[in-house]
Order: sequence, then structure tokens, then C-alpha cells
Amino acid sequence: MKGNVPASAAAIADAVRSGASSAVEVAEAALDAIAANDGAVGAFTTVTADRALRDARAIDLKRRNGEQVGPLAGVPYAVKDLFDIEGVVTVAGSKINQARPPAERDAILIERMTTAGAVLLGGVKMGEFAYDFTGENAHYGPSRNPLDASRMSGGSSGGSAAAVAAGFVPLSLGSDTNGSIRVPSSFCGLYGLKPTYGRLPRTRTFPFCDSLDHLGPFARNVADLALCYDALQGFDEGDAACVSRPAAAVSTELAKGLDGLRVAVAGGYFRRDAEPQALAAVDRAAHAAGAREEIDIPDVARARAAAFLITNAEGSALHLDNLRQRAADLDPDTRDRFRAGAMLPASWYIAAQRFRRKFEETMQKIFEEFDVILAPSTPMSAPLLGQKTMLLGGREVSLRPNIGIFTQPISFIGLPVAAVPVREAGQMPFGVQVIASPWREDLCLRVAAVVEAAGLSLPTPLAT
Amino acid sequence: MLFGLALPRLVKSIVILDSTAGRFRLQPIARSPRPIRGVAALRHHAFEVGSCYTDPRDLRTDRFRRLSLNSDEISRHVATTADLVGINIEPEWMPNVVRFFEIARGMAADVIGSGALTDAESAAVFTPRTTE
Repeated sequence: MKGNVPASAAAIADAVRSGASSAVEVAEAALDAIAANDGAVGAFTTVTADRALRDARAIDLKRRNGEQVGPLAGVPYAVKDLFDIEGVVTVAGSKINQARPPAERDAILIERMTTAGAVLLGGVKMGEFAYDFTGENAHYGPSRNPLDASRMSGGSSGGSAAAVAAGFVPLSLGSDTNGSIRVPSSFCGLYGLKPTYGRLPRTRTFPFCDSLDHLGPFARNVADLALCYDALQGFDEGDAACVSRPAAAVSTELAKGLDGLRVAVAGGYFRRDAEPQALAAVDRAAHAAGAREEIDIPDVARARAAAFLITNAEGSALHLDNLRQRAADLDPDTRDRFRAGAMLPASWYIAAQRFRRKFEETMQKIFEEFDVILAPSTPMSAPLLGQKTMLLGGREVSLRPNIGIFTQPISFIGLPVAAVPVREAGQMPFGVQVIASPWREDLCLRVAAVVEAAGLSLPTPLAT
Repeated sequence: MLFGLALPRLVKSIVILDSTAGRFRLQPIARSPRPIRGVAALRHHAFEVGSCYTDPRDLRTDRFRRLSLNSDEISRHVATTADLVGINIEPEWMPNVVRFFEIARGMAADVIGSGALTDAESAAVFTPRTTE
């Protein structure tokens, strides 16, 4: 099976547990696929081949000894390079961080993946310091979209999406501050999960905007996404924002289907400026999910504006020393946004944080009447690499800040969202956000599974 | 300089005294967003961004003027603040920084127009930890 990695994480784990395949065979196949094809995709920054083979051998040994090997036994995966990997410098898409010492310990979520039997293959590209929706990077080059190499993979978790869409790994981990899991999922035709803010600990990952940073998985199908998410759950005191609450397994919930769930479609703001195909994708998903009503959520534009301000202010504050001492080493697109953010009056930031509570109250009232809301992930499909502007509601606007207009208002108040790809033959995919109330990732994934079962997502072709 | 005086809601208009022009004029008040009462209300509720600028609260607190700086004033603010926080901005990059600041200023106008500055509890930004 060299160079041919099974598309399903669950299938790999079953095969490894049963002895039909070995973890080493799977790891070697994935490493071969990366060596053969990542030159054209550009997903990886670091391939941890020695570690992968060591871990795979350990899993095979445990299986032969009759020990438990975990729900993700032998499943290869990759992480956005803002996750600490022991012995590897956490560059977070930057040139500046190259001067940091190698990480002394894995990020907590990598440790949990290891406990579940997964095999880490390395770190993947991201937009500089995660301030990005494109997947482009001035220092390391872009991670290309495996469905069309001339197009963006999306950002900032572009490498995480590209690695899965290219077939190098069936799972990857990324981060989402304003849409950085949902946008690449949309552009690359994948499933992604941005859990509730505070659900997954961010311990030993490089931050961007503490108020809004989330971590989550990518996969090619909903079952794998749920399997991975279940392995990641649990409190960790290393992240002050992580909430201590019991893990809520979702894999066992998928079979419940809709079972009376009240599903609505977000109208107004969410239908005003999107391309017709993006809206058609939402409508197809809505039909499959039995959505009957369209709701106009108030103040969404303000929520997006407030998310913008919080991100700009907190990100700039984090990098103030870099702006003072290493400005020439920042990507110009990132640098000048950080510079502007360093000038924002504190009252603007505080107003944005206060509005966050107000918008949360608005959404809570909506969730009294609906369980799940569907909305487009992006207003368009994957733009061309190097593209600087886009049409939004008939007006030409800057591309970078506007790709995330539909994702920013949702992560602003930390709601859980599953990103679901909808794709017709001959088209690039469009993503649909499946949004639920806080801590109800199970509902997001149940509806995602229903849409998946309706056959709206063409299988992602593999690069191999 | 503009001064505003809110008349009773029944009148649904506001008296604007424009001291520079030395005259009064009447201007309709855009209705503030109504409290949300169930999703049925939401379906018919279209709160336009920008309607906040005629909210009397904005005129009272002078927010409107502060958010209406011109490009020169913004450039001066950026240059002054850059000095204050110790950031060097090369002249060739100043237009780009000013452009991004202008975008942020527009975002701030939207947020502040919601009245959230005074009406809402701030979202948590700090969680005390126990010390053992």
C-alpha cells in the first residue's frame, strides 16, 4: 500500500486493530505519498518521519502484545505548525519564530492523539501567525488547493486542509480564530469542526487572539471528524479559557439523524453578498436537513465588526515587540494590519468585548426556537492564488479581510460549527456552516452526517 | 459643531442645532432596534447598519464626531501613537497602515453604534485561577 493511504481514519484503525494492516505500513505509505506529491501541494513544513515510524512500531508492538491500541490506532495525521511538537521549532507560519528553541513537549492535543493511537507525520503550513484566510505565506510559499493547484487552500489552516484533501493523511488539526478551519474546509471540500470556545484546551499552542482562538479537526467524512473530536476532548488547566465540563462523546450520536431537530437557514446578512452557487449549496444542505424557515439574525454585521476589532487589537498587542524589533521580518500583509491594530483606542476594544455579550444573548433567544442554523462558510469558492480583490455584492473589495465575513460572527461568540462541503460535478466546493448552541457539537455533527448521507459532497480526489 | 435634543418618541424626529451654520433643522430619527421577542420578530427585523448614527445617545456623547476623522487626522493619530508605543513606520508603509486603521475605525463605528458601551456586561477576558 505504499503511497496509497486509505481515505478513512476509521478504516485504518479497524485494519490496524485487527492486524489486517500494520501501523508501520500505513505510516510508510503516508510518508511515501508526502515525498512523492507534497512538492506540488506544499502542505508540510516539517515531516517527522523518524518519530512517525517509532510511534507506529510501538503501536504494532502493543497490538501483538494484546494491549489496547486506541480508537485511532495507526491513523496518520498532521498538525498546523502552531502546535508544539517536541523537538521541533513552532514557527506559526513566521520567519521570526525560527529563532525560538525547539518545543520541549507536545501540545496537549497531540498528546491526546498519541494516547488514542494516532501517528503524527509532521507540521503543516499556515498563514503567518494565523492572521490569514488565504493559505498564502510570504516566507514558506502557499499551501495549494489539491482540487486545483492554481487556487488557494484557504487560511489560516491551509496546510491542514491541503494535507487531508491531497490524501496524505485522513485527519489533521488546525485552529480557528475567525474562520481558519471553516474557510479551508470550504475551499478544499472537507469536513471541519470548530468546537465551542473553551471546549478543547490550547495548551502549548502558539496563540493569535486569546479571546477567540479555537482548535479543531479536519477530515474527509463526518464519522472520522467525530472520532477525532472524541479523542481530543477533556479539560486541561494549562489553558485558562478551557472550561471544566465532562467530555460529550459524539461518535455514538451520529446515527440519531435529525430526530425532530429544528433546523433554520440564516438569511439577511448571510444571503446578501454571497455568490449564487454558495447560496445554492446552503439551500441543498437545508433541503437535506429538513430546514423549513429562514431567520434574519440581528446585528450580524456588528458581530463581525467586533470580532475584527478584538482580533486586530489582541493580535497586535501579542506582537508589539515584533513590530518594534523585527518588523522587516513580518509578511507585509500581516505587518501593516498589526501596526494599525496597535493604534486602536482601548475603548473600541472594550466596546467590542461588551457587544460580544449582547450578541450572545441575541443568539440564545434564537436557539430557544431552533436547534441548528445553516449558513454559508464563505461567499465564494477558492480564489486564485495571488488574487487580491473579490466581488462582494457587486462591489470590488479587498479579498483578505472579506473571505471570512460569514465565519467571523459565529466564532465571535464561540458557537460550535461543523463545516460541511457541498460540491457539484465540475465545480469547486462550497462550505456550509452547521451552527448550534454552545456545547452542542453533537447537533452540528448529527446534521452534518445527514447532509453527508444525502450525497451532496463529491468524494475529494486524492493527489496520489 | 452639532448639538442634539431628543424630542418625545411620539414626534419621531430630532432637532439639530448646527452652530456653524446658525440654523435649526429637523431630522427623522431612525428607530433603535426593538427588543427581541421570539424568533417571529426576528424574521421581520432588519436592523440596518448605520442607523445608529442618528441615535440621540451618539450625539450626546459626541461619538459621532470622534469617529469622523478625516484621512489627515487619522495619519496624525497613527504617527503620534506609533511614537508613543515605540513602533517605527516607514513613510512608504504609512498609507497602508492608515488604510487598515480606517477599516478598523469603520468597524468601531458599527460596534459603538449598538450602545454596547454602556448597556452590556463585558464578555469575560480574565478568569482568576485558584492557587494551591
